[in-house]
Amino acid sequence: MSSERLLVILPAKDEQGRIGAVLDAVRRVLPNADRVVVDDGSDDATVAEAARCGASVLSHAVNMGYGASLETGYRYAVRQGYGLVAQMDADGQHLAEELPVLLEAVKRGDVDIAIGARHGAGLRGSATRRAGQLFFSTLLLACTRRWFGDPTSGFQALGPRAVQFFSSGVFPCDYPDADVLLMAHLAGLRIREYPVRMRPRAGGRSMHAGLRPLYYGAKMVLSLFIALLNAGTWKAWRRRFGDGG
Amino acid sequence: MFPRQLIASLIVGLCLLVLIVRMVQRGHMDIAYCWLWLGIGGGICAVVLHYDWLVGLSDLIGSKTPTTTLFLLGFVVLLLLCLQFSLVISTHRRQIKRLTQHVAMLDSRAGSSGDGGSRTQEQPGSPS
Repeated sequence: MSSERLLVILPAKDEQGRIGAVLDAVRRVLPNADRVVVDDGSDDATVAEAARCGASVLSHAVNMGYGASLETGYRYAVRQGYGLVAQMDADGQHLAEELPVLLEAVKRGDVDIAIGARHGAGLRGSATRRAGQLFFSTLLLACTRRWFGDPTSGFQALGPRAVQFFSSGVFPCDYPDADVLLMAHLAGLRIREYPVRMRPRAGGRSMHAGLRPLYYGAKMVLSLFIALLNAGTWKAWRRRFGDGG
Repeated sequence: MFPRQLIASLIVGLCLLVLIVRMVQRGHMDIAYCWLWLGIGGGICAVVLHYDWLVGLSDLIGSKTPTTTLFLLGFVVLLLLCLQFSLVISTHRRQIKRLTQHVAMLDSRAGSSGDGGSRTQEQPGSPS
């Protein structure tokens, strides 16, 4: 793995009309970074638009979920020898201009995972969603003794140890959020949040729309419990790959 | 319920809960498919600890005895499990079909020597 090579992963499903602008912004801010779009079974011209912008495209033949898409990106990064990975949404919420903030922290070796935390209550969605985030932040606080204000943020930069860990098969297929942070913490990865600006979603359908929040809440509680039961596994990983510092 | 029945049922319920959690923990069962099983284990424990709930439900549906209600609930749960399996199998069948078609086209592209073999390209997202 080369610590100099940077890959930006953009999981996408039906983001035609939005992904092109995001890819162009990444190219403008990080001209030396490679971009890969992981298409999760789009029914529109997302793939064609991404290819026109010069990004690599990995297409799932069937829809597998956001977590599986991210894991595809991580495995691609490991296989191609990338040492630094950034991930962001393809719908325009995450600003490419904020990527250097996260990447600098990882490059300096301060952290293994730098999370871009949205600040400003207006960007965090409905009252129900904010209550849910507060609930999971509190659960994470109880488990890790650390406060994560935005545990569902998919705007992150990852160092080599984090990419290796996430590509080892631990990543959930559907909603990788608080449970993934807990697993990473127990595996000894250093995680820190950095405040970043974000935009409201430009369009399309959120993966948390409809009745999914009900399933999400129940699944996340159980997933956190299972992650705690597997603490021994994560600690073994930490012993095998060493502490970050 | 007799005390021995209560204890035996509670042990069964707790063992089922522990078994399901362990299977999910070890990755043998996906979290998405464990909810009905957890509901069964939790339901058994709930009935044992609050037998009056079972009696109340029996009165509500007109069962002569709570045992009849238990058999009815067991039958309904098995029906729901079968329904879940049918839905999951149907989803997997669609996905396998799509993957098989994708592999066939990749094979054709990789060894293309026939007419149009190297010119045609599958568009991801096209209807299957």
